[in-house]
Amino acid sequence: MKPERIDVKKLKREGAFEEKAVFSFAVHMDRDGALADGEILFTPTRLILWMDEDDQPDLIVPLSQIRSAAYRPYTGSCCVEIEGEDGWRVFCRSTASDKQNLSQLARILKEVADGALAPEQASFTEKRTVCPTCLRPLPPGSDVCPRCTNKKGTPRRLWQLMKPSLKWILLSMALFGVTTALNLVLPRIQQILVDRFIKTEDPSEALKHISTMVTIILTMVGIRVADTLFTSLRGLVLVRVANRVLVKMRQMIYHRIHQLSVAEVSSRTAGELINRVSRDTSTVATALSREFPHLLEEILIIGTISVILFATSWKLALFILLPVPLVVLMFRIIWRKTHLLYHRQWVENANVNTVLYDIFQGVRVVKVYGTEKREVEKFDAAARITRDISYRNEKAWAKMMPFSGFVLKIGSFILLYFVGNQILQGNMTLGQLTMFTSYVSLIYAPVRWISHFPRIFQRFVTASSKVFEIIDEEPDVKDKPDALSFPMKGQVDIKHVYFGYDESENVLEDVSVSVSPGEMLGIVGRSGVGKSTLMNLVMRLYDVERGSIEIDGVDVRDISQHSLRSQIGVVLQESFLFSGTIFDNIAYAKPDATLDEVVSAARKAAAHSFIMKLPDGYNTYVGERGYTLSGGERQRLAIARAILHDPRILLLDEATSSLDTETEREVQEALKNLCRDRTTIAIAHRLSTLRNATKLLVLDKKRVAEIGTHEELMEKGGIYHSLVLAQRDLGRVKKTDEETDE
Amino acid sequence: MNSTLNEMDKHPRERLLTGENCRFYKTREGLLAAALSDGSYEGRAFLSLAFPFQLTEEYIALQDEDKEEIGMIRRLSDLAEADRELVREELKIKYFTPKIRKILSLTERFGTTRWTVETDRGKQFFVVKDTYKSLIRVSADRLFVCDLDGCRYEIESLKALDRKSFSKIELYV
Repeated sequence: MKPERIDVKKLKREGAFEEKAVFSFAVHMDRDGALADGEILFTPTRLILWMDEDDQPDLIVPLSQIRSAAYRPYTGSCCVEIEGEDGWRVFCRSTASDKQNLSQLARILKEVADGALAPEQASFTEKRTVCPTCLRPLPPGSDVCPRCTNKKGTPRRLWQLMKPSLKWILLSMALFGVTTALNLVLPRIQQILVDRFIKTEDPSEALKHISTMVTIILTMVGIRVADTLFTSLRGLVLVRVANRVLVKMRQMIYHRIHQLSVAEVSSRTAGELINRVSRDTSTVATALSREFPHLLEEILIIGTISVILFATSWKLALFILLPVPLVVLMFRIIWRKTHLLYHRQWVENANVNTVLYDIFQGVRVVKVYGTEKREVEKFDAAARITRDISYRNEKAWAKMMPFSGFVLKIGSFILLYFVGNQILQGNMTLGQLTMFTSYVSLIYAPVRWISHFPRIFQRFVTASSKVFEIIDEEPDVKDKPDALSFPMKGQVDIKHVYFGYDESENVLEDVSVSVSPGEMLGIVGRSGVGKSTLMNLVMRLYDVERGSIEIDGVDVRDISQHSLRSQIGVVLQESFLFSGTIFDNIAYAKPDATLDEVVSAARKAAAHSFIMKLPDGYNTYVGERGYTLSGGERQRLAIARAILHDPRILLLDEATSSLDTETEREVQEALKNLCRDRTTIAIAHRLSTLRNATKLLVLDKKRVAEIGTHEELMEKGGIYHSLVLAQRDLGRVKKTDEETDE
Repeated sequence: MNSTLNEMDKHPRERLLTGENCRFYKTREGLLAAALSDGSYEGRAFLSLAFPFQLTEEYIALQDEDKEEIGMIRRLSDLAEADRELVREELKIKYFTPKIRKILSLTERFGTTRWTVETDRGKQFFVVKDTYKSLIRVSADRLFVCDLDGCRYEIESLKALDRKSFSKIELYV
């Protein structure tokens, strides 16, 4: 985690053993578990731990004495244990930041001890979780910081977002310039009006020029009309720009979310993602298309008016502008006090949204346990927090606003005094006074707005970092540039696969199995043993850590994801139905399916009869807010979907678990036909489901425990045997599942 | 139906461990081991807390190599006096949680926060992602900070923090 240091000591140490280290890395804890810096050196013959404080290595272990090694992940720390002649002992410890390095070390040590790896050939890549340059989190499992390598910085990409709309933004600014210019002319005209007509020494003289006066008034009306027109025009342009930027951003983020792997997407809650796609993008888009151009405009106004004022009378201008820095300063102070609260308010609002999303998702649980009241109270509490915070914020502003207005006004009072003097002395006219005061009121609005700007900016930065965090995320399951697409036969070879969701803890270790077209592999094992994980790996929802999964002899990582998944059909235990009709849901994988195809697929999946009992048949609307189907009905729709999809490889993860045995048998017949010439991998707790399996794989403790046909495994009398016996007993007791022992 | 397979689980019946029926010791190589007086288990001791955020000296499970529970230490004080220290020592390493004494700097950039803190085990720098979610409040006063790597830091008492430290963390709590 700490930045790379230039380590002279390390160089020395490497020489100290007359052999060069094959690899070395830093640890941040000593063997007793106290924070301290040290170094692990792995040489062709020795393993060395050397803490920075010590003159001597703390531990030197000849590699030949290491019989085995184990990595142990703890909470906040981890360690590597080695087995020597006297049994196990701790070799080194470090904080959780080094877990990837320590687990790698343990693996290498183990392989070396097993004789599978020559020490000189050990390859070690020091892994980090934070980019050493910008200190931002690195994508999991990667060493390359996407933001540091990406030369286009965030400002540059924001610019690219705005570029297509640039002419519109410029147009809106031009329109604003025109209205501003018009508004700036107005006080000048007023001055003429006052001096020539209202405060004139000789009214009868003025009356002669009554037509001029009418012209002036008409001009003023004209200016107002033009101002209104241009302002509304500008509003239209802005709406257009904001929408374009918003749509573009949403497309970018939504597109990227679909490219990300399941792991990356599911690491965030749905509510959070929804927030980012809908709310954060709109904050960014508004800032880009409105606030930033507006900032330029306001600066322009302040500049122009200042020039006019100084040109008219620099002394007076100074008096007017004097309180401005004071007011800006004042706003800064309130800002500093309230921005924490505002930020908090913003976060709390997001929290309320997330709470809502969760509750509506889990509404069944709430109802079943009758906890509505508690949930309402919880929401009330969340809403109260938001209310209190926003109340505190608004109170602070409400207290400060009139006060700041007053400070600003002080300038006007001083002005009044001086201009009054000037007028009395005859150096200035009343008209000039009205003009001056008008300009003053024109300049204070932008000043006030600008002092608000940091708040807008802060919000923009937070929102854009959230949006770009996703847009910048590199999908961890990616197509190679030369990814293959080919029609599959369906030969699946799983070769020595190691995999863990967390890099430091494996879920599967050294799993190998092959399935050919026409075969059905049944996977059996306790819950949590990695059955579904293995299926996910075949689909390549995740990439294997080591080993490979090959289809027709091609590594799945070399096949384009589209080609791969379009030829794999999956039926999961929890079948998700999209909002739409039953027909839409069955045809999901094959949108151009004919009515005949859909009906025949439904028949095969034993779904036709229940569909026909529904009032709207295949047109019945299901999914959220639609007709509620039972678990078994959903499963049958999912199976129909898979049958229609007609894949080369069929994955069934507890696909028939919600069906009664009668219906299951029916569906099994259909599946049997379906499986005939394709590759099937099925997971089932109910062993009768696997009666068609040509091969069974029993997983236990992350590894392959048994593999073979039903008969072979029964003969062997291992785990599978005892499972079958247990279920047979159960079947006898329940008398519902008599064919388990088939 | 799933229950049939689960019957393979050992479903350990609750077994309370006390100084009477359980003894802890260190192996020659310095690893913690336990022996039950009835001889049903002797070997390495792996400890797991049931409520790591709330109770560090209660509900301590003794597990074997495969994380199967051998028994539960209801209260650390139930053990023999010498054993308590051994268990405490092991837990301290297993649940490595430096206690934050002082926050030297806390800055937010790009949606992550960077912390430089002084802990009871030395000065540390770490990065926290999703700061609000990474702060685990145990009570109004006590909380845990989980960094990007899964390291944990405890703030025993917000009130006890000095003003400067508190003002830095105030925004997030």
